Amino acid sequence: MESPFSRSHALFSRAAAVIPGGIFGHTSPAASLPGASPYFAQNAQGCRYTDVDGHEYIDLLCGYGPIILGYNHPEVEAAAARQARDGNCFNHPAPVMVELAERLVALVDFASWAVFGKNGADMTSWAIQVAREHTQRKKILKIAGAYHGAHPWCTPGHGGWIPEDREHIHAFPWNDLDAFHTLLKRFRNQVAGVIVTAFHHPAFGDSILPAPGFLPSLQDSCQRAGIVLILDDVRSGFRLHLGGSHRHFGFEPDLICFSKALGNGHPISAALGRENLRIAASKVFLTGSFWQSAVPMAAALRCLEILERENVIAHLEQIGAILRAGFLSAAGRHGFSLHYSGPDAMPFFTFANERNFLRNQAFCRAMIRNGVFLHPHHNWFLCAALQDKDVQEILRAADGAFRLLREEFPQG
Amino acid sequence: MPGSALTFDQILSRLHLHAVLPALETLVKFCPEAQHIARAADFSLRMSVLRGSATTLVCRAGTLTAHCGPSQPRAEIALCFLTARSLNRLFNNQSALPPLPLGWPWHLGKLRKFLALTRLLDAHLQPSPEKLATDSEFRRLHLRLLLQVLAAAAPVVGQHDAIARAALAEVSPGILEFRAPTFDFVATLGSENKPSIHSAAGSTATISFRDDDTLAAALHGELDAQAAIGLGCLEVCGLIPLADAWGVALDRVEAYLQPAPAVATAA
Ligand SMILES: Cc1ncc(COP(=O)(O)O)c(C=O)c1O
Repeated sequence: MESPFSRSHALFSRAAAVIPGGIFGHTSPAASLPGASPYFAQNAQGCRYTDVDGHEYIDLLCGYGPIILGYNHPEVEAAAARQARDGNCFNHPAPVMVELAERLVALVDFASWAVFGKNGADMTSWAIQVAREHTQRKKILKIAGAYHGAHPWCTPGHGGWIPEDREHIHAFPWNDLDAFHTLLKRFRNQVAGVIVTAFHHPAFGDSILPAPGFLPSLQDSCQRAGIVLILDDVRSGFRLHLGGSHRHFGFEPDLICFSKALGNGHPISAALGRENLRIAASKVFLTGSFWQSAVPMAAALRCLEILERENVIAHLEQIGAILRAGFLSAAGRHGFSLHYSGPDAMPFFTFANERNFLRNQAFCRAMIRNGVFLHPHHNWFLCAALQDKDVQEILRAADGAFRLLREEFPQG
Repeated sequence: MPGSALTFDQILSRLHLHAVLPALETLVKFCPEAQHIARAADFSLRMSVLRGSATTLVCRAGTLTAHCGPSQPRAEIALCFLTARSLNRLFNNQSALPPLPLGWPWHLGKLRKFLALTRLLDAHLQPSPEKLATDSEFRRLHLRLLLQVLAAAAPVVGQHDAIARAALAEVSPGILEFRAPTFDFVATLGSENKPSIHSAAGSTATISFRDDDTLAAALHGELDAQAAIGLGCLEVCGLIPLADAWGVALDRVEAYLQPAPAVATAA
């Protein structure tokens, strides 16, 4: 039988001849469902996209997060096109950079300045440099298993870094204040920064919300020890609170990093910080050939406007809650018990008592066949374009997928 | 995975004793020439490093059995090396201090059969490209032996090599199973550190090779695994990070057994 993904596969064969790995990074087929999932996309609109073989999917992954309003949002694209007519990459930044910095500084309560880059890791790596510059200390504490990008200090990949890259990076488990305090004691007066995400969202694992008091305690300890607390809000930024995810969870960092949803698919990232970090920020060299390009900034400005105007976060929560209830009841109907985790706007589930993800993989394969794209190992993202009728379609697909799964795994 | 950092030579000696020597068992089972030698042989031999690891080989009635575990049978001949380094030099065909032969001198003549088997194992583990290209049966056995050596070497490296240990420490323990298609070989690497050559019910991750070419490329360190997965030549399912982490351990084996594993041809 011919594969439904024959064009994807043909393109992949060509890619593998000229690109190591064929497709690199997080979108590599090796990271998801090789053979049972499209490899290449053709076009997208709203909450749906079409692969190169012509299959359409309701998308619950949203490009791994950058899409928050929906693909090809007309207003965002119009703003980007308007800026593109004037130009994108100049000898100087365009006025839109100042506008965007002003807008972000107004949105994020503790921040008095902003800088820009392209990717999340541009900002997380720069943020730890600022923490080191500000404190004149070396150590960075992070959460074990947290993702902050593909740079040598933090990449989860096994190749291309040396132990010295991580000599001063130390990890403690999420929600484990004792382990955190043990590290603080061990490295008294040596810790420059602590970098955390607002909730723990490891690949191949359930998402874990902060335990009551965990993040405020980190904040308190950092304040007392003169340590810079960095919130890596690259993944959850603008999905939980327009002013930064710390507002959702009730704490306050010193630096915050955004990317993904900021430009609704246009390449841009930002870091914002407290006034007392301004001088250190000005001393840490920050640039890239395209980091000041104007088109993504125009897109981001418009995206922020729409997020606020249309109360997108409330909408994501609302459809997220319907999805959660629907997935759980569909699973229950077919005798499966789920661990449904994460905020409703960024959900994920695993099957109870399963460590090898075989049910997740089979479920996602079936969902993809039923026209819904989601990931077996990585949290999902909702977008504003998802409407009730899409949610109902997703839940119908889920019912069918769980039924099939029941045949494949009769023991539940 | 618990373990401690050993020196390079200590790790290598364990690989020689626990991964390379036991491959003789498979060689005797599947290679007619080795069977012929084994039928005419009758010996039990222990190779060990003083205060280190040991392996005992027992060859009787055409069957060779390797014992690497804590309780090993008595051996007629015991070759005890004073240091891991001297054992490694012997395996690498470099000049070495002779081991201390413990046991009855009239048994030493039996070593000739053992040496003939090790020469044959060498030829299978490090064959010429022409031999591999022209003899498909030979190639299949070469791959089986190489896979077996790597599967047995990975837990040793995973336990004692700093880089492999760090990679494995990042994932929750589980059983990785790898399957080769044209011969029924299922090696499992488990949290208990013991490779076993039988199917593991409920493995945590599985790596399956579609064909011998993919397997050969993987075993010779020439496979773009990401591309092979996308192309359907290699299948990895289950807890993929576990396969990735064991991949690091398998890659690290090369840092020790490089070039491909060799056994003694001169003693
Ligand atoms: C929490 C978090 N931080 C940092 C990054 C790195 O962002 P980028 O891939 O844009 O460099 C990501 C990307 O997924 C992320 O999820």
